[in-house]
Amino acid sequence: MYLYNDLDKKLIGERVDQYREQTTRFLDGKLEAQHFLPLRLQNGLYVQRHAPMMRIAIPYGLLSSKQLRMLAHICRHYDKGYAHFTTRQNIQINWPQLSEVPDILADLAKVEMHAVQTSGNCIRNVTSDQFAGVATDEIVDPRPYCEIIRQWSTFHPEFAFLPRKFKIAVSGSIEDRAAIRFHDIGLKLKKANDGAVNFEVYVGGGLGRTPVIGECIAENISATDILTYLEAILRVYNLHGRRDNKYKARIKITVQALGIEEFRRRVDEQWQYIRQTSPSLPEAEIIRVANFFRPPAYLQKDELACNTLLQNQCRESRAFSHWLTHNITPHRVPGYAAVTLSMKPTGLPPGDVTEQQLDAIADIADDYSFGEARVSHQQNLILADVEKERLFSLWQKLDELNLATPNINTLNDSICCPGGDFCSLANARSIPVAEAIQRKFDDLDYLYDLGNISLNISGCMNACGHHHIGNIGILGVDKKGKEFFQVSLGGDAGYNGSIAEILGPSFPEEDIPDVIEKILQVYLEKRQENESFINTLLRIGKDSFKERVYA
Amino acid sequence: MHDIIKNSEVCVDDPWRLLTIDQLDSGEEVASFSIVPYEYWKEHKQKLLGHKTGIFIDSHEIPVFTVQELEQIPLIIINFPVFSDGRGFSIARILREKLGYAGEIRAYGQFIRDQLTYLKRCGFTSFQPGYSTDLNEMLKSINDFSDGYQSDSNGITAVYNR
Ligand code: SF4
Repeated sequence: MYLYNDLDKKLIGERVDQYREQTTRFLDGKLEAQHFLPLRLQNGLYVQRHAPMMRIAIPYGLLSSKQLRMLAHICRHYDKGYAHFTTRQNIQINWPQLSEVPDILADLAKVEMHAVQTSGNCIRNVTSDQFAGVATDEIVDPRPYCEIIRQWSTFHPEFAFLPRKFKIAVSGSIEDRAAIRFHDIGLKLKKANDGAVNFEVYVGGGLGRTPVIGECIAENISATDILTYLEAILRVYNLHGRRDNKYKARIKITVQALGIEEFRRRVDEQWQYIRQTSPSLPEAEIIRVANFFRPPAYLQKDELACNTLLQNQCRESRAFSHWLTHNITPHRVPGYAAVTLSMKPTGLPPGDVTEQQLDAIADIADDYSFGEARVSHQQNLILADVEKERLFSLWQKLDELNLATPNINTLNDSICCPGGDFCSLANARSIPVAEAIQRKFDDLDYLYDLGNISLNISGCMNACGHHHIGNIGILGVDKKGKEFFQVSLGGDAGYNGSIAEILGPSFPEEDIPDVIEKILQVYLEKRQENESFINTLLRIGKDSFKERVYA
Repeated sequence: MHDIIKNSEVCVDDPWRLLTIDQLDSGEEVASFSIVPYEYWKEHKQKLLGHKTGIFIDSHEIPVFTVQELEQIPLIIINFPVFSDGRGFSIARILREKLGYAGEIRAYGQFIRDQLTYLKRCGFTSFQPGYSTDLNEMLKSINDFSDGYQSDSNGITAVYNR
């Protein structure tokens, strides 16, 4: 994991001092609310329905046990004892006091964390693959590049007052687990025949009111050129992005308005001279940063013996067997596995975690996974490096903590935004819908028979719950002052990227579980052998689903 | 006469005077230490170059200068019509880094003190708020950061090149 050097410490420290002084000025009435607004946003602080909400950055989802303990402390000391993992691999607390935020930031700085640029019209926390470094389908480890981009984008003096927020995601594997085509910039790492690392660059993707699939702006940008290229894109956006209408201010609109050809031409024009005046990223620097992400001290393991052991353990416990099938991801090192801790037990808001759980996860990470954990954009936690021989005991511990629900990638592993229970922008409450669906489909055999299905729920069209890219998407809408839900089908977050299509008129909350059931019935009737939900849908189209649902 | 912040100090009685298009159209003379809008300057540059004439650039304008022209321009002012309009940051960097402009770049208008540290890093050397405020107070924010990850025209080297 990356460790701060003197520069990181100095800058984060200066930021805390800066924000403390700004908060004091605001509380003394010497800083106008409208001027304080972007300053607090860029330090993670929103003002929400009940109280301020604070979003803390977890750069590309990586956490150490020390950081987990600090998050537990913050939940305990400054909040109500729980926090919420977001779809951008960050964590939010819902009840901080505005006046205490500088103290929270100072506490975070002690463990090399911050809330810088987690909100506001600036470059946000870069996100990536939760299985980076351990995935069996990885081509290039994205973490060093994420860290390099984190540094470049942090306190970037030119890009702190962009037309709108700006999100970057990086993926380096065959399967895209970072939804790169739905980011303002999506970066796909590739390796050339000679081993050189290049980026395929996508621009203008995003969800929200106008979901757009990012377009390829450049197929081969050398790793050493990536920062100047990003700078060129950002500069074109900063100069030409719309500032007159906040709903048309994202880069996707700029790209659409200019067309990808013209947008590319302008970026190239800027890039040509930025390359001349700014030095490129030296290979040596990439290696220096990559050294922070060297594999931990894995032990030699006999994969076969490990698997035999697991088989026997499965025979003894059906519950363990379920968990092993669903919450474990293969690892590139023999005898190891990546474990996903489900933050989606039935009846609790998806992504929520208590301070006790955070502390316990920290201990478990120390004991089982080299002191590290990761956050996924599906709002779960991952222990990436667990010995297979110890999976059984890990499972027992996680089960006690209610973190072993064997539902990863099933219908019940839904992505869900905080919605009307917490968020002032919401049209509807999304959490109760997620819960009603979980309760309806609590039969594991049925759930497993359905296979992998992504169900994403947003409380309004800002789409924090990524409803556009769920195989099934649910969106809260306001119908004459009443909470209604619109259902859409066919979203796909992968490299191919597709946006779900709306099925038809929206439903009242109580109808949603039955609507989902009807959709699933159609799938179960029509699917061919081993065909996933999304493939059946692609093959037969959405009409049969529509007919059944609106019959 | 008004005060400004220049080279990280409060500077009293700045001699520069902003002329609007209306003033110019009604025949106001472009005396030394006048600042004229970029559009006007473009039309009259033959006459104005080599004199003590500054140029006012609004945030939506993307100015074009030759290197020879820039050598004869003592002051470029960039307007911030609202503080959240961040285009001026890019315009200044283009002037400094792409075009190699070495003269004074001044932020004007509705920028706020909390932006000073970034404005300075983008190449601004003087600051003239378009509202009345205590410049000594404002100046306190200019060095909120003593260093940065990115290279800049104040001598900070990019972190990856150190
Ligand atoms: S999608 Fe809407 S309701 Fe949900 S968190 Fe985002 S803004 Fe709030």
